[in-house]
Amino acid sequence: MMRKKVKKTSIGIFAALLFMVTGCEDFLNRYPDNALTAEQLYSDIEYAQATIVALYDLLSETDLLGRNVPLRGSLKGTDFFHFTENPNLRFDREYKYVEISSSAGYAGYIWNYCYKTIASCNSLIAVIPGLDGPEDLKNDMLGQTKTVKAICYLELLRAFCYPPWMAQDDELYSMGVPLLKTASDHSDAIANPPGRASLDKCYDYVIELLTSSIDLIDKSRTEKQFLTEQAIWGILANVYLYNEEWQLALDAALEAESLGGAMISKSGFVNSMTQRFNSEAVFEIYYDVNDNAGTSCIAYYAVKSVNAQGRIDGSSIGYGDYGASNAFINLFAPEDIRNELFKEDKTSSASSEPGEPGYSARAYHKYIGIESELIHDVPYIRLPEILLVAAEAYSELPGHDADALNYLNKVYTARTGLTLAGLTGSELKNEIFNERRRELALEGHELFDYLRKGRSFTRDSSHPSPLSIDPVNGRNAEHFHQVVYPIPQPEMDANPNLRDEQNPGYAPYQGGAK
Amino acid sequence: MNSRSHSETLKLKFMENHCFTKMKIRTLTLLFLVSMVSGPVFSGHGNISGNYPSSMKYQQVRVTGTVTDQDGQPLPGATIVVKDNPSIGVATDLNGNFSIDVEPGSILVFSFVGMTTQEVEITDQRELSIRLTREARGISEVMVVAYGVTRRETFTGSATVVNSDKIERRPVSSFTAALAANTSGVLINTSGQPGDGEVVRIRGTGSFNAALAPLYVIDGIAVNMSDMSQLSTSSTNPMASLNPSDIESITVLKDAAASSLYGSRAANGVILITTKQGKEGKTTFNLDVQYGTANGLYNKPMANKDDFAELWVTGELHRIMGIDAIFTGLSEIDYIKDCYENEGTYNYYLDRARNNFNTAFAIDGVEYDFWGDGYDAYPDTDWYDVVSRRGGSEKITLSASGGQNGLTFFSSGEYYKQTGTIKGSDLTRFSGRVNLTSKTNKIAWFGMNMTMSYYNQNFPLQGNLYVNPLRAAANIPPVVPAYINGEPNLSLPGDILNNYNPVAMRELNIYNAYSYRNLGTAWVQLNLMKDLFFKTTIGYDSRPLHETRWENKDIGTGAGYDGRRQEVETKRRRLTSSSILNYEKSIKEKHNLAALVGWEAEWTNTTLLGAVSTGYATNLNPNLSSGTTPTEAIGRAYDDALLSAISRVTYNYENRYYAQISYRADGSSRFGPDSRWGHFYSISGSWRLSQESFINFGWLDDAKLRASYGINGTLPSGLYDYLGNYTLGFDYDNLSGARVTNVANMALSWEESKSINLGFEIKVLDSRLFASAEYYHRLAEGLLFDREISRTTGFTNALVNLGAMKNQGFEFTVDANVLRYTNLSWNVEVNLSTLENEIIDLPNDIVGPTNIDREGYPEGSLYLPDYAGVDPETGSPLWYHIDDNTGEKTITDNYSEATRQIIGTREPQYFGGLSSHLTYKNFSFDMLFSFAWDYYTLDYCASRYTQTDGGQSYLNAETSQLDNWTPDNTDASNPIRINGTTNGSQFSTRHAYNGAYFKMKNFKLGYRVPTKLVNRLRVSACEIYVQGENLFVLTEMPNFDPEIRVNGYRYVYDFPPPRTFTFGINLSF
Repeated sequence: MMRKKVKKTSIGIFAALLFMVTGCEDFLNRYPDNALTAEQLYSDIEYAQATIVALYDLLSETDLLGRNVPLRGSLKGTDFFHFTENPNLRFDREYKYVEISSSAGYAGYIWNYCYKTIASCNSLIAVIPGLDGPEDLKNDMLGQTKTVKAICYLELLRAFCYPPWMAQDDELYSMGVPLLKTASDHSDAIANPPGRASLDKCYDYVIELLTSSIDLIDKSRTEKQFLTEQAIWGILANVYLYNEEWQLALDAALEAESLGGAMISKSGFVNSMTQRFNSEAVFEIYYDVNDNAGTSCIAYYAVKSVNAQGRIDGSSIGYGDYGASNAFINLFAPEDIRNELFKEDKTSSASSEPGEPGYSARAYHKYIGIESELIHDVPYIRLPEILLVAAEAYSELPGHDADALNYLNKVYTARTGLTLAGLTGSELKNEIFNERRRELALEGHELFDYLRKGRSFTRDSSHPSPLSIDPVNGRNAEHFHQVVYPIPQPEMDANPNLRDEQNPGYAPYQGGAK
Repeated sequence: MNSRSHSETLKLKFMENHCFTKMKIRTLTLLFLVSMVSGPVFSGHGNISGNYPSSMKYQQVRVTGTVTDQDGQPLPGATIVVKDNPSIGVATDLNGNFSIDVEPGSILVFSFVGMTTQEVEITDQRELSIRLTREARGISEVMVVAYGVTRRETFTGSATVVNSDKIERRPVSSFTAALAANTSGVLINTSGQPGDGEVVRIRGTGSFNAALAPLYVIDGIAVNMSDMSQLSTSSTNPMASLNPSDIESITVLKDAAASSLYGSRAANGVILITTKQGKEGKTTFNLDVQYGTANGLYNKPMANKDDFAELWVTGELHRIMGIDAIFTGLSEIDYIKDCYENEGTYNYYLDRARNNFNTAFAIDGVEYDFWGDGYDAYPDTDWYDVVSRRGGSEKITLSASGGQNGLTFFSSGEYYKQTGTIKGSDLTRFSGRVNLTSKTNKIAWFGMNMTMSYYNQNFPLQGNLYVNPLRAAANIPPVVPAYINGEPNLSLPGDILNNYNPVAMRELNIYNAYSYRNLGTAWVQLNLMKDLFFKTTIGYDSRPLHETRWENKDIGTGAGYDGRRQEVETKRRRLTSSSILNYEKSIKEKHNLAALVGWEAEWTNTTLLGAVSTGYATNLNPNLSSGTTPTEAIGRAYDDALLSAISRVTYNYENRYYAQISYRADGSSRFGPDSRWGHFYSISGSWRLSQESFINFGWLDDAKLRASYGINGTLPSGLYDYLGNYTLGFDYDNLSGARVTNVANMALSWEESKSINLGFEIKVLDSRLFASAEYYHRLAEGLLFDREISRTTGFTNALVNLGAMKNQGFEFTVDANVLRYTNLSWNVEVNLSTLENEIIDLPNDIVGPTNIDREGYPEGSLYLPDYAGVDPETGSPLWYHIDDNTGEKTITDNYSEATRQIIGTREPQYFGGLSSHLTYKNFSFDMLFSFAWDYYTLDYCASRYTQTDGGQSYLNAETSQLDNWTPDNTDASNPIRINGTTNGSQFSTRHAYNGAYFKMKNFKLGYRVPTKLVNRLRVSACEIYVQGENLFVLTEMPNFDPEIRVNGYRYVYDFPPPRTFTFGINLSF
């Protein structure tokens, strides 16, 4: 009796064991609930759109267009200074020109995020032609992807390389960035990462990407949080401008201008500036309450309100880490509506020495949102920029000073109600340059404008960190090489082919490698 | 771009797949439940109907007798059971007498708590006089090992057992803290935050990127002990959900022979926790009540009001002199010296510096003259005082234990509350347990261990944050008032800490976590044949954690959102099922064979549910619904599975020569299909010299040599690391985005750890002295390594198997019963371990701000410039520069020219513990010490904040900074002080200390109230005791407890364990 029952039990157990073994591979197959395989994702062209969305999401990272790109270009120039009381503050290295390859401020982030985005673009470009879907949709996807790739290469070139004229001038300054054009370039780079391509090759590639995108992109798109034909023409105009291809820059800018938009009137400025998709917008990074950078955003870095007593308000937000210099404040005519963006900042009770708390700085509230101060779109390209590119290109083309002035006034008059007249030659070029400083402040152009125009600059006494940069004659000066970022140390650690290709002025690679 | 509907369809498809697997698991679980239930059902209703015993009736005899202790005192409540049929059993009466009817030839087992169990075979004796001897401390005869129990002398591996007496009454929130200093080869850190996790390292650090924690096994079931908190910078320790008083013993498995049966998760050692089981006999109750107070320790000695003003003005003086030097054409230092020479100039600058002080530290916008009539307007705030308080703990445990006729139980309930010494930190726990064992049926034994607990934890945020109260306490100067007009002061000088006054943050913010845990195991054992039994066990561990965070709308991070509420509920469930067939055979008492074979399956599932809401009208209603904007919804689920086959064979010949082979195959869902199965084994043997006839010394009780070799593994921490899938959630403009976030690596596999262990142990002089010595060598290869790859790939790193690391060392234990009289006994136990870690293979140096990983050196070695003191001429800090080529050592005052070099390790090379247990009549006195030496500690906090020589001028400084260089004090220990200039506080050996320490961790004084006195109250035993924790520590770095961190760093924000005194009373009835 007993025996029988034991037997029965044993059979039950062994049956269970058997069941277990047969089902085991299934038991061990576990997948994340927030991820899809490539086959799943690309099984439907609608699903595949998610990878395009992710490209915009990458661009919107604070480490890319969301903050680092605009702030770096602005804090290394003359118009904004940085509080230095705490050396651990963000952008302190950039502002002071003290980047070294192992401690290079945000260099590593910009580098990483650009290549992360480029790799995503390249893997998508490899897949799109094989997708099952309408040709025009596929072309539009290709167009957007290629433009995103072009933007990333362009930002790499602006952050890590010298402007093209310097490359012609001196071979030391002719290095571009590693150029990876296809998905397989990236997988090859795991074992054998590439060195730097020449600067002109890189710029040629960016131009090639942008011109082909114009043909591919959906010309009916008007949403300004995505890339449109107008945006691509605008970016292309910039690239030509950097290459001093004045006629091509002009043509591209005029093409962009023709595709719509209007300058905001002076009276509407204060309200419209903070609005998303205003009539000047061309391509802007979209942030809303669901998707924003929180305290990492550009606004948090800038804002610091004061209360009625002039003390920092307990309820104020933001780090208030930088302020406008005297030189910048003095650029504006009294009639200029942009003066409204200056706000009293920090406490004004104490000494007037820059860099100390108590210094009466001026905050520049360009990126303050309406619903919430922290939520504000960040523009990448706007109509005034396109108009100023046209103005600059005209001013460089012989016999077009009047056209240049006309285009300058399209921006200047909208902001001030005044009209500039009688400017020609270098005076005119100067004014266009200054208008770029006024209008495109904190959009990341200032340093590169100085460099590409070969203009020397000196920070005024309102800066806690004085400095002089002369791109033509001062290349051996102490801080000159920090006008571009060093190739970051971790990249060189992992990429032997870049170790001998550090930017001039930075210490040669000597790191961890065995 | 509307991809939403499609992704939803996808999700559905996905769920279908998942449901399929889930169904299988459900079926499986069901099957086992059935097999459990069917066990007793199939094996007859004997017990219910009562025929089973009668059908087996033989002629019985009556045996009577007494049970006494070694001194001849009667032992009431001792249990006597029949070995083959534990359902037959009795207990002794108050005079130690018993009477039992048994079959001739059966074996009687006599047992009593704390006494060595004795077995007597009944042949023709009818009257017995049994004398039980006290168990020798630390040498428990029966020990819990992987998948079973064994006798100490037959064990061929390396393990340390810690028994309940060292755990149950320590006033600590989790049992891991009680392991420290009691186990050789184990390093444990402790934090002062109630409920914070302890870090446990067994035999060194064996990995770069994989988890370093040991595997925890409770009552035979591997439990998930990882921190689940989702809202960063707070840690909730899953151990804190267990009542330490429920633990019978902890076995720390250290070598491969001991742990290889746990295979892929055993490389960092295994900690086996066994909870208390009931014993047959009268039901006994035990009540333990404790009450304690705690005081914060190890605060930095910070400057007071006068000291701070002096420090600040000195720094300011030099700063403004330095600026003016530009106009004189003199170097800064020369001009400063000139100024000191000329009283008039000096006073001019002194006035300016003092004015600047008055301005900089204006209170509520009003400037007061510190050196005039405004002195009293400045407070002398002790910010450590502001954030701390007297903490304490309360604990009440009531347990009951007993059983009869083969059915035994242990049950307990506990209330525990700990109040941290930092305001806003506390832990409350309620826990209950029922352990049941039934051996009423001869064929089917079954049992269940169930525990339920609830704990609730409040904590200030940890980590280096502005809101961390300890950072605030060290940073805010004493001249700053905590309150202005009764309101928290929200205007800190220099806007330090972003004006986050810790008082305001504490009063307005909420940081809470609570958990209610269910942990249960159920088992059934079928005694199939005399030598063969089958045991199947099901474990269920449900661990939800609810975290809440409220950041107020007025100040701090929350102000940017008009108040922000975050809530996340994380639920982790683990189902485990194991079935093991055991076989034991003894042939002619010479050949003893034991074998087991079985399998195990484990499935862990975690779900997250959370939401974030912002935009609040007031600070009074911080619930999710009251926010105007729901900003985030969090919902995730992930799971992982492990499937294993296990087997072990042990053999011994005449209890003299022992051999053991174990093998385990593990399949893990964390790897790709082609590399997910790993094989782990060990072989070991031992030789009991004392059993040899040619070794026959009267003083030698036991001597054993043992050796083992085996392979263990470590799993990656990530569940899906090998996959390179498209991850969703990279949204833009409210559209769903997906991209690949990591490099796929289908070849990713286990870390493999090969370990050798050699041991010798000896017991002499009638168990008076026990000593053991071990050598281990543990080589971990194919380490899970997050290798940096070129960013041009689109990724920053790739998880690969790469590199090798070695740990080796010796462990010595001596346990001596120095005195062993009836009224006086003294036991001393000492353990000492050495630890040598070395990176064997690493392609690149990995250089951190203070440390380096380099081949040939210990992992994380300190890598710093050597500090050369202060230049008496200029007050500059100095460092050594070493020429690359010649090796020549020169001194430089330029930090960037200083040469970084490997200083040494941050992990003790020698460490151990010392415990003493003394009893005299009814008194007992225990002490526990820990110590370590030969390593470095680094004062990270000093470098960044408290010794910056004016670099962080708005932050408070340590009093040691008062001795700083001036032209009048050229022999100073600190460099010249210049406000706003980072002078000599960059990382260097200036902040490195000899880490050697000696710490008194615990003492306990107990008094057992004489039985005669308490018996009248129907209480069988009563003990009252006082104990102290963290009494003192001696080490070079002032005011520092090196046990706060296993990595030797002192951070500004760490919460050191407090000094506590506890009073307790323990009653048995």
